[in-house]
Amino acid sequence: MNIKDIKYAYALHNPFTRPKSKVGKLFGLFDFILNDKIVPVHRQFNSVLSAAMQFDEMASLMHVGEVINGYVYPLDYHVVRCQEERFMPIASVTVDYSKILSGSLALKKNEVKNITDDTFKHSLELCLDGIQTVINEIINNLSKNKDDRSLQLKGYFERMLDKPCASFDEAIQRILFYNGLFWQNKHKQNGIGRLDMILAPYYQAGMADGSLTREKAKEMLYNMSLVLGKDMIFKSAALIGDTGQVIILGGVDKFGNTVENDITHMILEIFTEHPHPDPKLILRVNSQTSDDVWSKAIKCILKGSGSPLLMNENVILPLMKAFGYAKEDVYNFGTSACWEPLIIGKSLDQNNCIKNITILDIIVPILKNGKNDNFSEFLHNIDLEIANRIAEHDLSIEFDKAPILSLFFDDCIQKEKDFSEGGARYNHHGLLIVGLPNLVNSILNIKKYVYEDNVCSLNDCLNCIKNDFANHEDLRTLFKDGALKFGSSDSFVVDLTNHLMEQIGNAVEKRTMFGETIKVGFSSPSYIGLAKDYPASLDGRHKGDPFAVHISPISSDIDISEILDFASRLKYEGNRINGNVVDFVIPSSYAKNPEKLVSILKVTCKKGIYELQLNVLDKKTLIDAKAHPEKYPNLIVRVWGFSAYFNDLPEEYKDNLIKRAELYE
Amino acid sequence: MNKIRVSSIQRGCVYDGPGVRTTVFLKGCTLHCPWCCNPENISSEQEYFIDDKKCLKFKGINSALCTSCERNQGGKSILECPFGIARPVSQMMDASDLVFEIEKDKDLYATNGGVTFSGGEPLLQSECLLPVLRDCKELNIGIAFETTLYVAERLLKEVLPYANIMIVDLKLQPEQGNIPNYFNCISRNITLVKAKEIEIFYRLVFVNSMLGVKEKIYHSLKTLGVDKIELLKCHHLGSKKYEKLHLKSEDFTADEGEFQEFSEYLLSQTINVSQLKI
Repeated sequence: MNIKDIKYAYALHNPFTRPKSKVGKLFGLFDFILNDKIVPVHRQFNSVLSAAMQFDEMASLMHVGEVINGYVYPLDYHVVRCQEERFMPIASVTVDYSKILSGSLALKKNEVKNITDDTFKHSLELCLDGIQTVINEIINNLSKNKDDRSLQLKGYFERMLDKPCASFDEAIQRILFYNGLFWQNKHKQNGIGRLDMILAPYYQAGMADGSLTREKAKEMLYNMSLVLGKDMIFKSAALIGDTGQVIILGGVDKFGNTVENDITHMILEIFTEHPHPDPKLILRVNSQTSDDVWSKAIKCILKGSGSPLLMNENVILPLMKAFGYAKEDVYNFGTSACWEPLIIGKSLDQNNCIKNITILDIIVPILKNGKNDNFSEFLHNIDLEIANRIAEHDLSIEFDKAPILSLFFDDCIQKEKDFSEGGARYNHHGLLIVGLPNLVNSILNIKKYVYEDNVCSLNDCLNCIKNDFANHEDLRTLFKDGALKFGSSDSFVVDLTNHLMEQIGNAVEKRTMFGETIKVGFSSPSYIGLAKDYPASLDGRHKGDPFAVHISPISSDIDISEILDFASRLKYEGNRINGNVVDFVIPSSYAKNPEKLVSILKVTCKKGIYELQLNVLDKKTLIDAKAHPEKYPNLIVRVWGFSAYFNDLPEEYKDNLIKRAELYE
Repeated sequence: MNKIRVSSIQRGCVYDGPGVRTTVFLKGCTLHCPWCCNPENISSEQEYFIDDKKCLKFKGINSALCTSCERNQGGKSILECPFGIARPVSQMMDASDLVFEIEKDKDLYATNGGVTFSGGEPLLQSECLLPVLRDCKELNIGIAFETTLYVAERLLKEVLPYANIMIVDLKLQPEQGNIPNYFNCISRNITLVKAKEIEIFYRLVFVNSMLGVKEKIYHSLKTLGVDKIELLKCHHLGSKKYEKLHLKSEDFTADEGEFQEFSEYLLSQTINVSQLKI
């Protein structure tokens, strides 16, 4: 077994429970080797086949079958698949569970039979064998129990082999089963999909034949959310809570009808009655979304769990179609963990697999080298530098192999290609831009203070950046408070922002990944990570301070009406569809008037906002929670695309939330 | 046409009347309530918020930009400070500019929202407001006034053809002292409002001293024909504004228990009370 692989596996495995110290880590590594079942990479084989062999091997090592919260969830922390360090793990995709519910393992085997590429066929067959092994293990373990629930679940697992689901309860179990397997195989940030759409037929049938009541169904859904959330720490990526377990509600179905049923309502009720950070909710809203759903969604948001994030599909759907997603597929869009759109069951789209682009990078080269005699010349140089910066961004990447996902994503079997190698119908990966508001404010400051008021020179600006405003605190004060700001509905600010977004979009259009067009979005989770050692910027930001969060103001005089207006006037055309979130902290006055907030948000969607994430934060509470974490064990906050317990966040994230709460007060 | 003295325009307001509203704060008031949370709107003269926290000299930062400032014995007034330590409280707006701002959220007003003119005492600028009111009416935007109604009949009559809602802020607190001809003036004006199809909301800021004269207040409400009222517990959220105007302020923040007691008393006297939450 390759020690490098093991060390890498240890580094990736359950990172939040690992010891922090060097010695602790060393002991942890020994413990990992001795007590966990590590499944090595088989380098002598084709890497897709190797991954399939690993899955089959893992399946035989897993101990699963325990009933927790009413269901079996096949995730065994002690069985670990090694991954090659050169490969980027595949994450943030969503299987179309409706197909899994209406299919069976036997049907899948039949599909695979027709594959002509022997190695690929063998790989998928090994995965199917592995799935069957886990099912058998669970059946065996359930047989040992004599209670009714175990017997019922055993029946569900037996039916997985050759029958479609027949009930609401069975459908939930089947979703949980496959979801657990994907996590087991190291596919992180699995989306759950459109539960209200895919579970509806089973719910309706159960209600019709009297085998189900609304109350029972709600309890099952609640238990499902508990099962999905029970491994939050193990599943988390960058921060605790960052699991990408998104349940999508609402939105249109393939006939263009808006999905809204008892399940939509029950899930919103569950998240309102029991706020918890994981899983998360996204609500796809459109002009048909009922007032009742709006109202429940707002009540849920006001409970403070950060769910649901709102996606305005009246804007998003046409833009996805125009970008190149087929009309017949686009109705079923979901997201990559946070907010980057993709097609459920058909997209590999790794929308955040490349280091995010810090767009402030373009400023220093222009200040140093550009001929900037007037503002229009300066702006022209901005355009050129954006093109340069994006042209040189490293997009090289290789993905981890994913034969188990090839079984379930269109069109891998037909194309006879692994999911990771272009097998899926869509492979439009994405880039994310961080710091657009900081760039806009920097340009607005240069326009006013260099070119209009002659307060300082471009060389002064360069020195401010280089020396973190040492001896230039006066300029920093001006830059922070003085000129027009990002988020203002002033036409110049809107036009400038649109111009920059368009330039970025054009530059990205010239790049491809694996020969496919790529997308770009202006919401990035890296607003703290990439800012840590980043020099000062001309928006008055000190070296190392966080960048602005998504499409959100960094100025206290821009209120919710203005930022929503501003975001509605931005142009998200072309490839600029990879997630564009307004992230705002709701003033308490709205929290006390939810019905009025509904009106505001409905109108905002009509005007053309892309996505919206709302936090309900109170500065005093956050400060107290930072000082006395023991008093606030259940305080939940929305961070980027995920919610988390405030106490679980690193200090810099706590400070950032406190600052933002203060800004929007 | 005379311009309108506007101190601020707040969009997306949820307190100043039904629905979602844009509230236009107008400068100038005849009363001087000591707890006023908008002290910048009392005087009708231009004033400046002076934010000394922004002053580089006070922060101990040397800047070439400050050498000509009067605080450094230079010739320039602090009103010209490039760091914006002095901000004019109000601006004189043309009616058309004001309508443009109000119209921005027209979609948001729906059936029961609209614009609220507040202050200060908005009716003091009735005449200047007329073109704004006409345009709003044409645009089908609901119009509310948050007013004391303590104004001359003529000023009220100007706006009555346009108003949909009057939020009447009653001044029954002992601290008000004897406001000349208060009851006669507002009784007469309430009668004028009631003669039109205008919805009236009565509002009363609660300060602790009111509990001692609760019966008198109840009697006053009855005299004015008020059987439904919104009570607002006095707060001190405007204290920073007093500082920036270099005015002294007194904290009248009401006690929650006394607020509830007063509220229950009015309820027991069959006055329909709702508490405004801020």
